[in-house]
Amino acid sequence: MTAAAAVRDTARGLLADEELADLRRELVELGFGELVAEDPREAIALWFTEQGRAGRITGALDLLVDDAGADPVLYPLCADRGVVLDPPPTLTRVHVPGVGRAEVGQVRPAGGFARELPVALVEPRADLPDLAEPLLSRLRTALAWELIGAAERIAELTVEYVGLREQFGSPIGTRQAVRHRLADVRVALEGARVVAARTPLDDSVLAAAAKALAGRAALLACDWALQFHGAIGFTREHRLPHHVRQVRFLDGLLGSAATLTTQLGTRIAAEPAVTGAVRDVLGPAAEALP
Amino acid sequence: MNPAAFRESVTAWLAGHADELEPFRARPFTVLAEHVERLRPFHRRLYDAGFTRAGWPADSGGSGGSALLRGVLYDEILAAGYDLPRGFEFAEIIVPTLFDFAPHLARRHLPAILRGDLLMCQGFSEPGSGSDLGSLTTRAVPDRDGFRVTGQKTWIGNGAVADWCLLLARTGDRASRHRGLTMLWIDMTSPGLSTRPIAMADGTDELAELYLDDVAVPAEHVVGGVGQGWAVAMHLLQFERSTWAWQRQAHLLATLSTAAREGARPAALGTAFLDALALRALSLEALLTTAAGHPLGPASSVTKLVLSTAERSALDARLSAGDPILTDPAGHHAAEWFHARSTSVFGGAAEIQRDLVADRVLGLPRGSA
Repeated sequence: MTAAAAVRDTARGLLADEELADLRRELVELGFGELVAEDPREAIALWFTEQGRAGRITGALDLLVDDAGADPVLYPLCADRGVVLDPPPTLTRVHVPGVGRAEVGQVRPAGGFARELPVALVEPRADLPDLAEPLLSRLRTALAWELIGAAERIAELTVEYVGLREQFGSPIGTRQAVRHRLADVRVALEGARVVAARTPLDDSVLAAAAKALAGRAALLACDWALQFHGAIGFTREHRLPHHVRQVRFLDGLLGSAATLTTQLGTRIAAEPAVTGAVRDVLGPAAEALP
Repeated sequence: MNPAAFRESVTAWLAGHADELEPFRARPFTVLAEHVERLRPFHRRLYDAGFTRAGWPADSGGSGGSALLRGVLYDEILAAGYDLPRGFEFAEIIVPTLFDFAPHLARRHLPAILRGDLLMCQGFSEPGSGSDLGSLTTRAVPDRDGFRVTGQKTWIGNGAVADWCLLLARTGDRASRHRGLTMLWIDMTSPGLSTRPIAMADGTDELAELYLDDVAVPAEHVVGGVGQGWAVAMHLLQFERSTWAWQRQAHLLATLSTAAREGARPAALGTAFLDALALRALSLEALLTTAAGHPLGPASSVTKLVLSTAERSALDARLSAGDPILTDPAGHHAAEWFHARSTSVFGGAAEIQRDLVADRVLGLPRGSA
């Protein structure tokens, strides 16, 4: 077994153990900080995918923030697709320097954050209050992986369900209308995964792109998962609604797919050479070959 | 030479010869034969500079090294704003297939292909056989010294300008479906073979019909064995759906740069950039997979679907700059728009790709409706 596979198994074990309440402490004991220091891309990809799949609150993002030594005052949360937190945060309208009037509040621990998160609700496609680089790109990459993990799990649940659920005498997954949409979900997910996998550490363009692609794929996975699960997918008994809330929160945090897409477009409009500069970081010449 | 060093030498050469390379800057075409001839000297210059041989086997006319070097060359030519000479497109689809199934033919033709002197096409579709390729009726009947081929092929890219054609014909009986097919390598100057260009909606004559009337094909021009045509075709389509897409992503990223300078809308630019980036990363995976000698598998259908999306969104971004379909007198934007739309049809329609993903990637139960 490779070292990465061993770490992934350990991560899966931890995340599957419902008895473990304080995953942040477990992470510290596992040596998450050292793993990140040793190979940040690999460690972040691995842990956050697993965390996204499990849909748990872990504190891994707290650790990344602490590592950077600067805790941002406010985290921008884009509500353009509607963030459906349970329970909803209490928001207050205040003036935020650099942003103007904004709704701010505390979000209960969610996703990678085990502490209460100070958020500023920002208008769709608005300029986001700046988090300092390289922390911003690192957090976006982590969130991209968490979204990919969640979307993977959601897609798996759906593929499994449509293979079992029979109507009109055969599984609904034999119908092209269902098959083609789940194929589209997989295609979106693969695109997000390969871009995230080749996003260099702390590259602002690719980190934003990876998060946008991951958010786009995860939202698509949610839409079709809810549709194809039928009524059971809307119950508290099923885990799907939990994953859907998770995805919508993660997508909104630090720039939603829609907001980041427009921001990337604005960046390219101002600097057309950005599209060609991708060759420096993603391509045959940027590969570490044996 | 490693890909990074090769990239440096290509970019330096392109920059150092910018004046002489001016005629090869990217521009739309309407007459394929003129387009091919305009770019032929470019291909030759790239050959003389030693670039086109890189990444092809040294015992067959190449200069060796990783197949990734080829990917670097296309990426840099397109990023620098030049048209990619036509010969490179099918070289990436047909030549790897020849190496895998008829290495003697690959070795014989590769030097001319690398010089840009030999153009290829593939004859698969027929008037009655599009997505259902297993229903094709062009017949290859055994003859003393090989086969005699009779039938009609259509939608042949490069058909009217190609020197050689990789053609799928039926050698079994009519009911044999995909089991009775054989892939043949056919000289386009053969007696009994004629082509007719098709006037396309995009204003070009890029595709052609191909008529075969008792065309003789020697036995040594069977690619992959008699009755193995389906396997060869499926093998080839993996390249058409994924490694070839590497050339398109480079073209699309360059298109987006142009669109940005023309004032394209940020939301459209951003969407198209994400699609092109996904295509770049997916087709890079395909390049790495084939360079390592591994099969591509059903992942190529994923790449093809992303290609279709990326082609569309890039053109949507380009057109968001204004209303060029109405204001572009030469009709070039409309031409490119039609071409972008056709990506979800050629090389296996998007519906077929989604079925393949559902069956082979997701493992969903097979359905009939």
